[in-house]
Amino acid sequence: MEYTAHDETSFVRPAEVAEMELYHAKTWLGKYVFSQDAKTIAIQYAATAIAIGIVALVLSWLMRLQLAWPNTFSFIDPAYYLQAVTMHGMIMVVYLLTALFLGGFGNYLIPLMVGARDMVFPWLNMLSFWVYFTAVTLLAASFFVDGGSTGAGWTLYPPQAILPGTPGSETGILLMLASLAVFIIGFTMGGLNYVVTVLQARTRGMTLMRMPLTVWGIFVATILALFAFPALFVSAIMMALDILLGTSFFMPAIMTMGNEASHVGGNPLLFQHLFWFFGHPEVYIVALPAFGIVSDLISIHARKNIFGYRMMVWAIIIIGALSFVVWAHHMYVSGMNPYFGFFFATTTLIIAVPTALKVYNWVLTLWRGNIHLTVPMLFSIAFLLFFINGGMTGLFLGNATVSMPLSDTLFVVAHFHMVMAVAPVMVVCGAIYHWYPKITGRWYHKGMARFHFWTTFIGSYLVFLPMHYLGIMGVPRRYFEITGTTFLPESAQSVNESITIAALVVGFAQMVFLYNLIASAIIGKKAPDNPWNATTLEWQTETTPPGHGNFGKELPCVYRWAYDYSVPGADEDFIPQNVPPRSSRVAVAT
Amino acid sequence: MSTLFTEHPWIASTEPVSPALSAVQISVNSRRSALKVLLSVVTVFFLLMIVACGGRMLYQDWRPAPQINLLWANTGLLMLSSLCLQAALLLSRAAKSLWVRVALVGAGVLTLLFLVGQLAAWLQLTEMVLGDFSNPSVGFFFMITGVHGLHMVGGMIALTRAIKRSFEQADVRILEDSVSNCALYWHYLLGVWLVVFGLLFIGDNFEVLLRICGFI
Repeated sequence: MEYTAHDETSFVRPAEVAEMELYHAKTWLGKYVFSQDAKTIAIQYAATAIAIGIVALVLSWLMRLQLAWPNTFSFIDPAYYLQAVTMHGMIMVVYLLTALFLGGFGNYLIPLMVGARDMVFPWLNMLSFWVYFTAVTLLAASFFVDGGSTGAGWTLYPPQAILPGTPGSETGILLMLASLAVFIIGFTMGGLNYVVTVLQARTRGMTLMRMPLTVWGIFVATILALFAFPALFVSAIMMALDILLGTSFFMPAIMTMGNEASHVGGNPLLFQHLFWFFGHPEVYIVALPAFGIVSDLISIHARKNIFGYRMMVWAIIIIGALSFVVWAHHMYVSGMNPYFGFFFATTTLIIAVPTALKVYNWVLTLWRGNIHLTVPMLFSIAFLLFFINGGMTGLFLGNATVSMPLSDTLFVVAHFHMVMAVAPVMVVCGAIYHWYPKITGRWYHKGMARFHFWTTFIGSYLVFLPMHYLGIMGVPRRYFEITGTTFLPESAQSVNESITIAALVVGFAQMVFLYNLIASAIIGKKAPDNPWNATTLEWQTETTPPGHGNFGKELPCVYRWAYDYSVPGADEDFIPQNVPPRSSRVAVAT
Repeated sequence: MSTLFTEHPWIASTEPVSPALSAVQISVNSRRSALKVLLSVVTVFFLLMIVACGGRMLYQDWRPAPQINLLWANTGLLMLSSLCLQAALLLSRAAKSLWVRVALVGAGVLTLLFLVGQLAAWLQLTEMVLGDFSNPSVGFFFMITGVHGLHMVGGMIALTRAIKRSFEQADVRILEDSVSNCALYWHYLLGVWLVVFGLLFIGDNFEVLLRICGFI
């Protein structure tokens, strides 16, 4: 062994990219409305997603008011209730969470974190947002058409979805299908951008295995979405043709309102297979970015490198792949060959293995870390608790025989809200607080942020934990009211009332959150460039918020992974990715 | 990608620096990557429609759609347009710009004829079933040919840009990249068409395949 002098740059892996040509907007419209800067597009995505998300939140309040105090609110009738259920579900899953994680965080973080000037196709990126905006507008328009929005449930199962008697079966369902199709087209434009940017535009030294887990999560989730959304697109086209042209893809020969419908020979189960071939990966389209982001938040705020980085990357990839072979566990009660049930129950349980690995690694990262209980860290810990809780109830529902009696009860609603609604929302909130100083250059109000956290955390538990018990009692989901039943004790109604009160309080906390975000952007204290002492490239920009082109004259050069925290012998407890190795003398085997 | 298995990201690397790529090369690589990703998405899209059609075929009451002979001619047109694009690619590599233009325009015209032919096939089928679209096999025909046609229309936008570039004396590398991407797209959609045409729209090949696999 001898020591050889090395040039600092000799540590850098083969270059991936040099400079790219940037588009510079000349007008106000070009800069802020039809912007081609990924950061502006990210904010546009986030603002639109949050705006339509608020609509969905209000719909959930209306549902809860009806369930807690039935026959009290005259404007909520059964049709209105079903419409609220449907629109709440679809908006939250597709138009809020998917758009926010991929369009919002993806656009803001991918170029910055991989060291690129922008997405590789900025114009297409801009178009992607406006197509998404059109999809949201189409969806929102369905509230105002004759018959109102569709009330078929967010799964839109035919034949019910398009038969008279179901709310919105005239125009509402068509607008929903059109909106979904447009959303998917817009997403495909954005998704191509995210994938190609990660593959082709990483800066020098940024190997795939040096990418932060946030980028890995968004990258794999985007690939999932690109392959899963076509199933929804195909089913939307087929259902639209059934409505418009009278084809019979999904519509069997059926009597409706005492008359024979014109359809013959369609197969409703075909829709369910297509829908869930999209629907299950969709869970991971939302979850994987959350997994990635929370890994980074935990590592940064515990001042410790992520435990098992490579394992975490592979777990993300394996979870993504497995998510395509579990879809029929949503269809146990639809009827299937028992061998299929066995297959899908087995794959469902297998997917728990890499997922559990991730949970262990998060906990082991926290273990003996220098944990800073900042607001992002609080939300990260809350994510862990909700995710473990929701994951455990998934074991019940993943088993065909155990799942049967729980199907269509509030147990299912409680499970999926815990695991794919509240848990990712915890990450969304934590991530917004974490990157807020970078995005706005200012601090949020910490008192309001902590109020937001504790109210949301405790409140969400008060909403969804008791809901499991209601489900086990047999309280069905999607029912307008459950009064007058003989199998439910009166306490079930009391629980429903307490859930509603908790939901309203949680809702109020979200208003505080939004106020904090908006007000602090104007009057908040100035934040430094790297307030968390983080290692990733977005914190190493010349200006805060980062300008057009993200970095200064030269793109950063990456020398190390994103998790050099509390490195023994280092001057500080973090070493940014663009800091070269300290010693120019390296041991070389001879 | 192999580094995913071998790299130890927590250890500083001693590999040498390779020169940075030029802006043109990045653009070329990105477009090619995007096209490959897009074609993967398109594959899933058509695969799902074929599987859905196959799934429906398993039921007793499946009635095949009437066969349309015009589709053979349309297939020929698509093959020729694909050939023209392959020729354009080879000619662009040989820097024969005049012939590149001819081949590109030829591909465009043949594709337009293909699309017109598909429309004519739609009209023929509509007449054959007397406007009754309730037979699922008829529905699948309209949907799959329609979606394939729309993909060809999308391709025509890229082809038009390539033709424009060929007349504008654009950078040779960019033109070649453009033609190469169009050729890949056309060959691929020709492949998709041959699969759906062979499986679904001539004879009972898919049914035979499903029978061989033991599904029927």
